[in-house]
This record gives sequence, structure tokens and C-alpha cells, in this order.
Amino acid sequence: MIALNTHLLCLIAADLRKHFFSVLVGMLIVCSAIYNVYTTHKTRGLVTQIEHLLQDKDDLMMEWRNLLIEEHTLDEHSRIRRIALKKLSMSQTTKKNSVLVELR
Amino acid sequence: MKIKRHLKKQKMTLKTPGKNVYETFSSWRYIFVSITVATIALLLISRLAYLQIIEPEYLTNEADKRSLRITESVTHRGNIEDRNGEELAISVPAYAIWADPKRVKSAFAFTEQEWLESVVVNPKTGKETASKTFFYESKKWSALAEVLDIELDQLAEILQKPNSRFSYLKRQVNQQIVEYINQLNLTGISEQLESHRFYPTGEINANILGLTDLDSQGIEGIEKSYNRYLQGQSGQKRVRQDRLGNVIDNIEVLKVKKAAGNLQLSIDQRIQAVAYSELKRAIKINDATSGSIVVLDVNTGEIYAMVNSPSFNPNDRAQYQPYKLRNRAITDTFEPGSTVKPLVVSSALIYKKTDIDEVIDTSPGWMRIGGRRIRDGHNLGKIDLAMILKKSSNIGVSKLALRLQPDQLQQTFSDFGFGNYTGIGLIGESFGRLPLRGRWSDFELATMSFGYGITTTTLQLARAYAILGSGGVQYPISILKNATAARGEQVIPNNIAREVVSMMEGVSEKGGTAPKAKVEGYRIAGKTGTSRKAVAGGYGDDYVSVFAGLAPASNPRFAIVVMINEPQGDRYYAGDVAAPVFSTVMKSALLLSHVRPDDENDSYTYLESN
Repeated sequence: MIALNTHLLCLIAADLRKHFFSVLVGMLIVCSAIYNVYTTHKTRGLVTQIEHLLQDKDDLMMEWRNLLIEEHTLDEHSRIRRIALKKLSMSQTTKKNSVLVELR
Repeated sequence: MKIKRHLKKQKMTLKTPGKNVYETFSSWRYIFVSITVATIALLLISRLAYLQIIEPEYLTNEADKRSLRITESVTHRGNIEDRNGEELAISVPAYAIWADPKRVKSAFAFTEQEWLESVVVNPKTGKETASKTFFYESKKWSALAEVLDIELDQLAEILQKPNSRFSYLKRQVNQQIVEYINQLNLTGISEQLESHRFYPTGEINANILGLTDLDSQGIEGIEKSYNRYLQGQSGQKRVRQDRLGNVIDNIEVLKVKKAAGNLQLSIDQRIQAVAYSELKRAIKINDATSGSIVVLDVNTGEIYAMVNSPSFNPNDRAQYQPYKLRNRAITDTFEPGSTVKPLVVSSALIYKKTDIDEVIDTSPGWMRIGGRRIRDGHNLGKIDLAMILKKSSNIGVSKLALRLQPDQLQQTFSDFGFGNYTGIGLIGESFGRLPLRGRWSDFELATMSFGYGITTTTLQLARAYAILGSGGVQYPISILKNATAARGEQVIPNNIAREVVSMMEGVSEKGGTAPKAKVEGYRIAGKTGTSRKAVAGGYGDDYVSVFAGLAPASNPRFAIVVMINEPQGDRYYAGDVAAPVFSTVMKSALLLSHVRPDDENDSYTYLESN
């Protein structure tokens, strides 16, 4: 039986050798198909990633806009003026306490 | 058996000659198996071919139904900035909460009867269970009503609407509330992304910026005038999603996303804030009804500040009242009164009816024209042109005006931009009234020379003074920050404009009409105007106080007009009402814009760099 088996394998090997080109092309097709699946998978991964990043960007934009509102509510000029005058006892400069610097 | 054996023999000779391998080979079994396998294979292949070639649409559709989605990427309305890039209007995402009453009704019973009708008997156990929950029993609805600030009954009424599939419950809701509502997980309640417009500077800019409605469409002011530019367009994409909702493939773009434009105004928010608080204060002190201030850069025509009072807080829609919304600086006209006197002097100089050194006799302080009297406050005697402006002599300018042809004076007024649009490009602008007709009585001509019978807006008056300040060059008025230098048009001879500006310097000097208009460190040129307001059948007891001025007088940078409508009380003269406002605003504008002080009498400590 062992001899027979060897014999069958030999036959298969001979057959494969005989149709070497077809076998090669067949294997290339399989490889290419698998590679195709692999790249598609990878592309999908990347597309998902870019979508997530865009979403993150949108979220950061929203946060930025909300922070802008907060900033401008706090740095509103009349508010600063009021705080400067009342809380910090500051006053607008007069000609007596200001120095004129000429830039050329 | 014979045949069988024969076959066996043949096989043996074919495959493995000399050795009997297939001892138990039965040929019918082999044929049966072959045919069965071949049939199954054929069936599978034909089914495959059928699905793949003849009828592929069905499964493709089914697959697409499960994976294709349309995603929307929302473009928020563009920001509005001042000239230093400080945001004056910002859009932030907000949500609208809406209900699908049909779906709500399928899960909740509003009446006892409905609830009883929904009772289903389980055929196996014979137990009775209601398929609907009683609406008022669920604590979630009262929680929703509370968080949305609606009465529960009102909510129930909305949800019971027959045949309705969509109803807004509340709009402009923030993220936290949406998260809370999502946790309630109520059937038929969903949210939708929209934007909320926020104005950090509040009432200061409310009149000029205007408002947007809930659908982010500009309905007033700049928001409306530049709606198209600010709006942008939300994009739509068809995408394929996987089981977890991740986008795995972008199929096609249905609507191209267009980023909204940000608008940069020429407004300087620092000056704007000072102008608004000063105006508000002056109106309160003088018990006036309304007022406006316009600050123009005379060399570019840009508006540095434009404020009105009364105003409103655009972030609180409850305050929305049409009369507060008006941008009075461009919509409301008034008779400019004595502030047109420098223009009359210019006209007389242009048409060579006088020269700068002429002395005019205004005594005895009154004169009769066509049976009517005009008069000065008191007898001023013989005075020159500068003194006429300093003392605001009606007789002086009337005498000049009477030397002019009516169409000559009108031509000058029209050169200064009266009776015409300023080109600011905002909605609701009125262009005042400059009557154009052939026949004028002397009295009408005289009154026109001190600002009656014509009307202007605050902005138009500011432009007229800006033309004087820029040496007779008219620049197009703009509320947008100019990227390129504006090209002006010479409408008044340069030397005449400069001479008139230097004549106007007397106004804040001792004996002038507005010593309170003085700005420390700078020379100013200006003119007061106090005109009675026309009512049906004549002039009433209300006044308009106007101060229009330029600074620094040696080389003007800003033209400012302060208009205060209907000041009450004894002090209604522009020199007391409008001039102090002018002084404060001008001082801030000059200091903030780093304009060099030009008053030699006020000495500064110099620190000279090499």
C-alpha cells in the first residue's frame, strides 16, 4: 500500500509538472484574489479611520466654537472696561502720564 | 456479470495494469454517484448563474438596503468677525427635538379606553397583558416635558394629533439635554441637528448684525444682506456601512459640501463698545428716545463703528421687538440743522461767491426774507466765515446761500452725498430727502442753508464730513474690511475742503458752540446742529441734537456723527447733549488707532527713537 501511495503522489507530481504553467497561473489567480480581499479589507479600515478622524475634527470644531463663545463673552470690551475701572481702579491715560514714542 | 467483469478488467488495464485495486468496484453505484454529484453541481451552478446573471438586482437591492446609507455633513453658518478678527456672531450646533405621533400612539395609550383595547390575551397561558403603556403612568414623559420646559398636557396634545408624522417639540436644544432624552429612550422621539446662532457682543452690535431665524436664514441686517455668502451648503454622501455602523466605502457624493464664508467687517469692536456705552448713557441722562453714532475712516470710507439705541439682546428672542431692531443710523432720517453750514460755506467757495477772508455783516442779528424772519441767538456783528461756523450764525450762511443759485447749492449737497445711497449695501437703507425742483423762494433757500427742508441719515451726514476730511475725496462707504485700498473720487476741490475743515476748528474753542467736544491732545473740527422736529402742520417742541466732527484737524482720520433724538429737559442743545459723546468716542478712536496727537498746545513727553 505504501508503494502504491508513493506511486499516486508521483503521478500527481508528474501531472502537476506536466501542466506547470496552468498550475502557476491558477496559483497566481488565487494569490491575487486573496490579495484583493486583503486590500479591500485594508481600504475599508482606512475609510473607517478617515471617517472617524473627520468626525473628531467636527467635534473639535464644535468645541472650538463653544470655547470662542465663552472667550468672547468673557473678553467683551465693555466688561473689561468696567472691571478695569471699578475693580482694578484703573483709568484712561491722560497727556500728563503718557509718553509719546515716535516709530520710524 | 460478464460485462461487469469486462469493465473491471478494462479499468484494471487502464489504471493500474497488473494489479487488482478495485476489488469491490460496482459500476452502477459509480454511475449513480456520478449522476447525482453532477446533477447537484449543475443545480448549484444554474442557481448561481440565475442569481448572478439573470436576476442579480434582487439580492443587490437587498444587500444595499442593509448597508447603503446617506450621511449628511452639516455646514454651519459662517462667523462674522470685526476688523481685528474677533468673532461677533458664531454658529454652534444645536438640536431640534421632534416627535412622530403615530409611533408614540402605537406604544402609548392616552385614554383608559385605548389602554383596554390594547389588552391582548396570551393564547398559551391565558394571561391578559396590555401591549400599550398608559401615557400618564410613564414617568419618562413628565421627565421629558420638564426638561423641554413644556406642560405635560400640552405635550400630550401634540402627541395625540391625528395623522401627524412629524411635530417639533422644541428647537435649539443643547447637547446635554439631547443626551438626557436619549437615555429616556422614548418611542417616537428623535433629535435633528441644526445650528444655533450666538452673538457674544449682545446688544452692542444687534442692530447692524441683525438676526437669523431658527432655520439659520438671515432675516435682518448683515445676516440678511450677506445671507448667501454666510450660508454655505451641507453635503450629502451615499456610503456603505458595516454592521457596527462604520463607514467602509464612499459610494457617491450627492450634494457637494460648500464651506460657509466668514465675513470680516470693518467694525472695530473696541470703538464700537465705547460708542455704544456712551450713546446709551447720553440717552439715559438726557431722557432721549433714540440715537445713533457713526464712526468713519475718512481715508478709506470704512465704518469703524455704527451703533444705535435702543437696542436689544439678540441672544434672547423674547426681547424681539421690531422697533428695537432697526439700524437707525441708516434707516432713520432727520433734518440735519446747522451741521450743513460747513457744506454751504464750501458751496459758496466752490462757486466763487465768497473768499476765505470775507467779513460778513450779520447785524442786527435778524433779517427778513420774503416776509419771514430768521435770526441768530444774538447780534454777532461783522464776522468772518470761520466765525460764522464757530458761532453757528444763521444770518451769515443765509447771506451766503442767497448769493448762490438754488441748483448750485443742491449740486453741492448732492456732491456731498445727500439724497443718494451710500453704497453700504445693507437692507433698509433710506437715502434721505433732497428736494429737486426749479423754483425756490429765498426763504426756502435760506432755511435749507441751515439744514431745514432736507433730510439725511446719520451715515449720510458722516459721509459728507468724511468727504470734507479726506480733502474732497468721496470713498465708497463699506461695512466690510477692504482687502484693497478703495479708490476715491474727487468731488470737492482739495483746497476748499481743507480750508473749511480749518474753519470748523473754532467750534470747541472758547466762545464756540461746543467746548465740550474737545479731545485732549488733538485738534478737532466739527459743527453742532440742533434742529426742531417737524410735526404735522409745522415744527414741534422736540429737538434733534447732532454733532458732526473730524479729528485730528491737521490731517483728519475719523469722521464721527453723534445724533440724539428728542432729548428732554432744558439742555437740548447739541453742544451739551451730543458734543460730550463725540469727545469720548473720538478720543477712544484716536487712541486705539494710534493716531499721533497734533495739538501743539498740549505738550507730551517725547521719547524719540533714532
